Amino acid sequence: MAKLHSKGQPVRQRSLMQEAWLQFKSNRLAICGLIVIGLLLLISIGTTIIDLVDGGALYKQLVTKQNLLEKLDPPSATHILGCDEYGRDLFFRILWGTRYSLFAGVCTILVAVLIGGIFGAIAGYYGGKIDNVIMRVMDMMMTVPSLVLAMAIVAALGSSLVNLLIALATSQVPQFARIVRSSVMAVKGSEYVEATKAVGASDALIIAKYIIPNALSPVIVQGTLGVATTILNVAGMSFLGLGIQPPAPEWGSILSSARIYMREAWHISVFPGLAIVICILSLNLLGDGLRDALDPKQKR
Amino acid sequence: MENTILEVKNLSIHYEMREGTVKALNGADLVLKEGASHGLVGETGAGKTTLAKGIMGLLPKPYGKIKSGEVLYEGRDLLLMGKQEMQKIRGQHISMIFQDPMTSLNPVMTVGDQIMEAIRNHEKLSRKDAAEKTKVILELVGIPYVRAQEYPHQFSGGMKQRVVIAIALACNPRILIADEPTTALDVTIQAQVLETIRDLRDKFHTSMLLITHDLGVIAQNCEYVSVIYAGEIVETGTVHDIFGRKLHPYTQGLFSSIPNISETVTRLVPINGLMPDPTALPEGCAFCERCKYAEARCSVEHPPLYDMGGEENVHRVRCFRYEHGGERV
Repeated sequence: MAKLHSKGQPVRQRSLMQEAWLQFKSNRLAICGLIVIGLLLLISIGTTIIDLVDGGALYKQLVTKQNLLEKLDPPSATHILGCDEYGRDLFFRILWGTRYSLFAGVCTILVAVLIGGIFGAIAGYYGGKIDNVIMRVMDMMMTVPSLVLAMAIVAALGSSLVNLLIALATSQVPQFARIVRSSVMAVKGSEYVEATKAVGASDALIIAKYIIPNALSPVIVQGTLGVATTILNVAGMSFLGLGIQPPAPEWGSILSSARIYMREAWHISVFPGLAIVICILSLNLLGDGLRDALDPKQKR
Repeated sequence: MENTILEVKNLSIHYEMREGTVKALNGADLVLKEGASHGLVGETGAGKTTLAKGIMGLLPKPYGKIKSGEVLYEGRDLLLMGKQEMQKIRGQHISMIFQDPMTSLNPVMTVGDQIMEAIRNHEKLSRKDAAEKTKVILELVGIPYVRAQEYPHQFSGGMKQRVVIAIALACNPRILIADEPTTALDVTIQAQVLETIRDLRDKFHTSMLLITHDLGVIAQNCEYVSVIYAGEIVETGTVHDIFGRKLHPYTQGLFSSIPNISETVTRLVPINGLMPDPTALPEGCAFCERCKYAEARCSVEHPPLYDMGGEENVHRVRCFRYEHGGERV
């Protein structure tokens, strides 16, 4: 039991977020994931600020300026990760490439959660015919593999960063609609919603304080994992030449151009590949940690 | 005598499912007097919860349909009220406690916040005033205010039910409908929870409709009893009428299937058979297939309620055996 304050007021106990944080902190792998993602975020924000401040001069100097003398140079003291097929420093290319992956991943998922969430919530809350119509459309979208759907959309709209994001978000929408719908339905039918109706709660209150908080945690978890999937998809699309176009240093496109030099210059494929692996792994660890921490029933 | 605060007249509620219509409630009548406690007893599926939800306007949509009847609260028919009006009635005038405290609380809100929310549904109070009121209510149900910041999963079953009671009584309603409030709890906790309810009722002068299948709980807590069977009231009266005279064969059956401390009985007598299928109710008396007194007439003609006088002249029974012993109502 909590300690008594002098006036008998409750010592403000840990809030839901603090409680989740405590739970999260004890998960070492999740903390590692959080630190790495934090670092990557700092890098992407940092590089963006540098570009904004000096008008892209440093970007041109370090990332896109070709120097054929150093073509395919292996890692050395001057170029710690070596150089690519045009003699560009791989370390800086990967550094500047971070923001594409993270930005694309986060934006795509935000859009997908928003759209999928609205459709899913409407379907789950109202049920009946509306539910049937929305979910059958989502089912239809789900029958097409997400990467193929995204490719089709990019092919139709033309390849650019925005179109890529639209394409990837569209292919993620059904997944979030399903998750939100099922959790909304579960919460809507629960006895505590009925109990709160019995003491006169309004619909708005029930949605804001009962349905959304209870349906939120699976969405957060799935969202974190979805960011990882999207980064992979962005890399995959760029690898196929449908995503972010060179000379922009997107990880997938670096990897794509590296594949012909794999025998003579291993470093060009290994380092961007490692960057993708580390990023995805951290996001997955973070997602798992969040899933454990955000479930109020698991708290100690 | 006291005034009537809630009157249910000829209420019929059917659940229209794809597989057929479930006739859950067929012309039930109930009179709740101000300040009194009325027990509603019956077996599983008799329509107890349907009656409670019908009064609260919380029937499951889209299946639950009210076929006929009125629910008069202080003379106004609750069934004719709009959604907004009904929201004001719920909590402030009529409140309900659900069967299972484990699932009746929001798992992601602190207990204190949930009580505060219930208060702020009806009263425009600042957070500080609402917190003050929450403190008072929590302490009334015997929970120290220091635990208001905890989540439902940190509470035991009995304490959760106290919280549920606190929420139901937060706005000081005039009627409390308790739907098997102690069924999910063990016997010692049961006694504590019932005592809490009794104390609070004394303090606030709240009328109560207590739904249960435990006759002992009724004997301890209620002044009036109605026995419900297959969606209709088969016998109603004061506790003394019912426990003393037990006129209806079903009521007699209920009493002979529980042990009595003052009698030596080697074997309890159960009621043979099952309640009729609510999708295909018999034309005549619903109980006739299980009744040892059944006559030819019982299976074709539906018995009305007969007035049997009794302690406060409210004892009524639905059985042809009392056709000449009582007055038809």
